[in-house]
Amino acid sequence: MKNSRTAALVALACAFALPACGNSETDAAADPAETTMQAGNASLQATVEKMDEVSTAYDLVADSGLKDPFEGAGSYTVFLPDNEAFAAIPKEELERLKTPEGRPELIAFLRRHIAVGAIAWEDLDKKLQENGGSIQLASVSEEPISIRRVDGKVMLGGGDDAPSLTGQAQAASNGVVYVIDGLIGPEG
Amino acid sequence: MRIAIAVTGALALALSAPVLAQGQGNGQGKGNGNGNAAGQAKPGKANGNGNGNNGRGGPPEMRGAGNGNGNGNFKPEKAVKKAERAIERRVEQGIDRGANRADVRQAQRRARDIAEDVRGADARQVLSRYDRDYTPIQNWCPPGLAKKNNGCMPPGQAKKLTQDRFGSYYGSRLSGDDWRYYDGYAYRPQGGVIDALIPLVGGALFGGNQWPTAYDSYRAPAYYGNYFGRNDNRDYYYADQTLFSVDPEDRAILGIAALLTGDDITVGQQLPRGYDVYNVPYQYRSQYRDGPDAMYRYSDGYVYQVDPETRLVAAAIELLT
Repeated sequence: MKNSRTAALVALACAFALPACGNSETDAAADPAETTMQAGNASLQATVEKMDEVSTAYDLVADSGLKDPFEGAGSYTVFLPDNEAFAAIPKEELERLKTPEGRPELIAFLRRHIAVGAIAWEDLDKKLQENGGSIQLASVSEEPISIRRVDGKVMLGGGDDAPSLTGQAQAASNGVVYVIDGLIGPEG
Repeated sequence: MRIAIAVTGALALALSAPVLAQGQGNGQGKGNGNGNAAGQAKPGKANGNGNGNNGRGGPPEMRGAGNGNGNGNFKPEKAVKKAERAIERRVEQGIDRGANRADVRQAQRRARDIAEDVRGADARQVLSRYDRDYTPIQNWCPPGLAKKNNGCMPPGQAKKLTQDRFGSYYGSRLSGDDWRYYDGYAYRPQGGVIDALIPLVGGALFGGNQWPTAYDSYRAPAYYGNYFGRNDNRDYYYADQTLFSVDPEDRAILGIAALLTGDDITVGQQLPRGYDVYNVPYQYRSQYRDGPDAMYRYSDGYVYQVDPETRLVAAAIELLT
């Protein structure tokens, strides 16, 4: 597990900007969507739909009625838990969140994972360095999303078990999608 | 301490709502109620903290000269309502967090007592006492997905409580006129207690329901519809950091058009926390790029020009030009 996370972090770093990670020929031909400094071609909604590793989160977004914001003019940076993160939640609990009774809770949960605007990895990384490894992102929930770098990992929220970035971020036309390996709780 | 925050926030919230409609309010949510600051009106955060100097506000066209909602305009009858609502909210939060039934009942009794007290001449004094004396509901747990099986309440019991709480609403679909709306929730008081309490976003305010007449004043400025909408001839309303599209004919809620921060970003004041990183939408980056003399940050449909040194907001820029 730890090795896979490390590998994912390396992949993340390579995906975003480190010239040493790839050859110049590949980089020059790279799809603009592979650098989050440039807009992708598809909306957030369409971008997430193609990301198999966050299919559970995609389903929850659809069930929550939040597809429209992710297809509209608003710009967001979303930190989506991967499928493995949701596996820790009992299936019946996930099903409950998809019901009308669970929907308010589901929306509140998702909101904690959404920052406003398009935040490129390169800008995020740069600001983490400038700010001593800790920054905050304005969210559409009640509190900003706290981000910190700990032992090479970029973690969201507090505590040792806070989720961290993993996988490869994707630029959409109206925002950026990051993958994280856990859920952001109400305490941030 | 939490209740002190809630009551103060509720004070700001309740008093700002009517002003919101006039575009010269003090914002919703966080605010200290001093009544001197430039007023703002914008879909604010649901929970007011009441500790900051800034009311939550934002778009320029919704700002104006704040009339003040602080000590000079104190109205006991409004304080009564606010106290009731603040306490109701505490009860709800207790439920959310898994408080046991005894705790909730105790809080409900406390709510009734306070409501009676506040009906006295000096409601503000009572509110202060309540702030000072309140003991938070004990043994509560983080709601929902945060933690499971943590011993605060058996999952089955929590689920039953949730079903009880929502049962009335989902049976009646908010029929009748006995529902009230406040601070993120629709609720129905019965016999001095709340027998049903529904979160607004995703619950009472969701596709298929009608936009409540009690929230008529939450009509969003045209800019919101123009920016977030799709030239679809819909009406746009907001509540709890959420922009809703509404059918202008029958007031049916059509969906959630945008999620908002509700952050107060005011020209001449400091940029609030959370805007450390450049976040301007891609299509506007060539126009609004950080430089030595100005940095740009996006929030809720606007780009704000900010002095990098002082972090004072120099301009709010609409993105439709």
